[in-house]
Amino acid sequence: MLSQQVINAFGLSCTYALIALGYNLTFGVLRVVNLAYGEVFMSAALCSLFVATHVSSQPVWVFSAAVLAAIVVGLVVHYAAVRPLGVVSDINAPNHLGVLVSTMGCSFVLQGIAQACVGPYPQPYARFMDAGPLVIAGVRIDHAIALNGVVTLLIMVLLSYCLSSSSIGVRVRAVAENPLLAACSGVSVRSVEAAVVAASSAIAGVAAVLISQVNGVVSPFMGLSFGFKGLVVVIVGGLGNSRGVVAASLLLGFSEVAAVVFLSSSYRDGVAFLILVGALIWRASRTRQKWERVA
Amino acid sequence: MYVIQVLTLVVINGLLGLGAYLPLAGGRIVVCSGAFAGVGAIAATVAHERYDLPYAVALLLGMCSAGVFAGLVGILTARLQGFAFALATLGVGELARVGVVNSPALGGALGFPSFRAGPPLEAAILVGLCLALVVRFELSSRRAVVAVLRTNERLAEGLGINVAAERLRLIVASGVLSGLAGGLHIGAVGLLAPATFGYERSIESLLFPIAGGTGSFLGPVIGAFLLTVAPEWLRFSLAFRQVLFGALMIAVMGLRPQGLLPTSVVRLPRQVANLLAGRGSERDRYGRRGDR
Repeated sequence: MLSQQVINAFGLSCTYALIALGYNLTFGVLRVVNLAYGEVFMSAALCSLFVATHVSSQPVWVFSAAVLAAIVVGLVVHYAAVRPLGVVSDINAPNHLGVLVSTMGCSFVLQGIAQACVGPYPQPYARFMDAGPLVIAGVRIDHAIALNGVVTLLIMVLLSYCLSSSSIGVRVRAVAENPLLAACSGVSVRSVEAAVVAASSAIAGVAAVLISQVNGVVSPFMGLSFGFKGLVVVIVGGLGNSRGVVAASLLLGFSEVAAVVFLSSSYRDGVAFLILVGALIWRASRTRQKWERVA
Repeated sequence: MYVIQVLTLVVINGLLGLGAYLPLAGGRIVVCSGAFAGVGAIAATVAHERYDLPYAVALLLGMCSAGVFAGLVGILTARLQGFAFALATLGVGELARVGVVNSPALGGALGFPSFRAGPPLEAAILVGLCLALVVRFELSSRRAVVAVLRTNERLAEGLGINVAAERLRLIVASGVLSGLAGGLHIGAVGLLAPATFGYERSIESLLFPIAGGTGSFLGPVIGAFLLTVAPEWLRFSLAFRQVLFGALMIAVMGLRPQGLLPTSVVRLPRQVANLLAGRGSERDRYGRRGDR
């Protein structure tokens, strides 16, 4: 029983880590946090549900639909809500309040559209994996959770390889480090921004399919909870710090499962907020310098 | 009567908008106005229902407890800047909601039923008192101090302004106003449910000063009036209203960040303050770009 909960916690951590990865990627380059990222994730899930029910439920089509939908929605949000406010590659500092409010507005709009399309209630999601669990060393692992874990690790490895070794990765890191200097060196900052947004949206799309497989339901409001928890992971782990993000996602996943097991399931969402507020206050009480760099 | 209902809603939203506006004027975004209102509402309900205190006293108690809660939040988050502060208040608001949902003593998930609203005169007196205090703040020199805080905190500290104290004052005032709004809402609606005072309510109350203009208190007040009356007048459904609010947020931030109201309207209280203090207009003092 305990090992089952550990597996669940690990699966949950992978979920949150994936979403946090997307936030991390966008923040590293754009220096702003996109609050509509959860809604990008949600739209990908709903589009893949549509494709799965009306076109074909082969994994290839479902994943492609999710990734494509996520990229489209992510780019639309970027160009409608984030770009007009000016981002870090401009001389002026980014307008934090502006981006916060603007992306929140985007999330409301996307939620409203999704609600108009599928209604406010959760929809069941077709699973394309085997129903029975894997049994490894006496522990039953759900196929969906196993896939979740494997793909998360794959994406992390792929991402770190791309960022360190490929030419686009070099450019992304240049822009993340010093956009002005990168622009002077001939890197097209605008296209790097767009590429980063597309990549993080693609990650959200993949995450959407994986998480919907595990949960079995999608709803227009799933973006709120997953988006916020991913944000918590990224804030607690440190924006731009990938190892911290991994640690924080493990912390959140295990704390949530622990809360459900030892307290009650209604405290589940409270854990994320508690960790967030606690981490923010604890960090602020240590030194002032660190936060001035971030916020 | 329908008009009375709409008017009550305008007053409640106006108070919430003012509550969200005060920390905004000091340069910080508070995303838990809804939670402050909820604390005020719960305190008022408990006082009125369980202890049979008179309506005005219950409302006052609601305001005070919301103020204390806001003060706690302000002290805990005192050293956070910008985005971190906004996130922390968001977390606090949601934590409060989860806490209330999970404690039957405070109403649980279903909330308290049947809170009877008291005489509207008492509520009106309290609202008038709050408004008078806000106007007094707007016309005083402290408003300019708060504006410096928003522009550049280092500069404010260098000028000798006690940044922490000013911030705390602003957030406590915000809590008090939101608490009154919460108490009035309970009297008007008659049912206390934790979902009413959650994240959406906080964002909505942020929208009033953002859409109306953050230069002075007229922005949130007129903004709240317009944004409350327009959906009622145009008869929008609830889901569509959310999409419209979202689109409004995007549009305002992208196209006209200083708010939809004309700047000359929003700047009126400052000009009145200069007149009262005998300072002469800012244009006379600083030249044509005196308001920058």
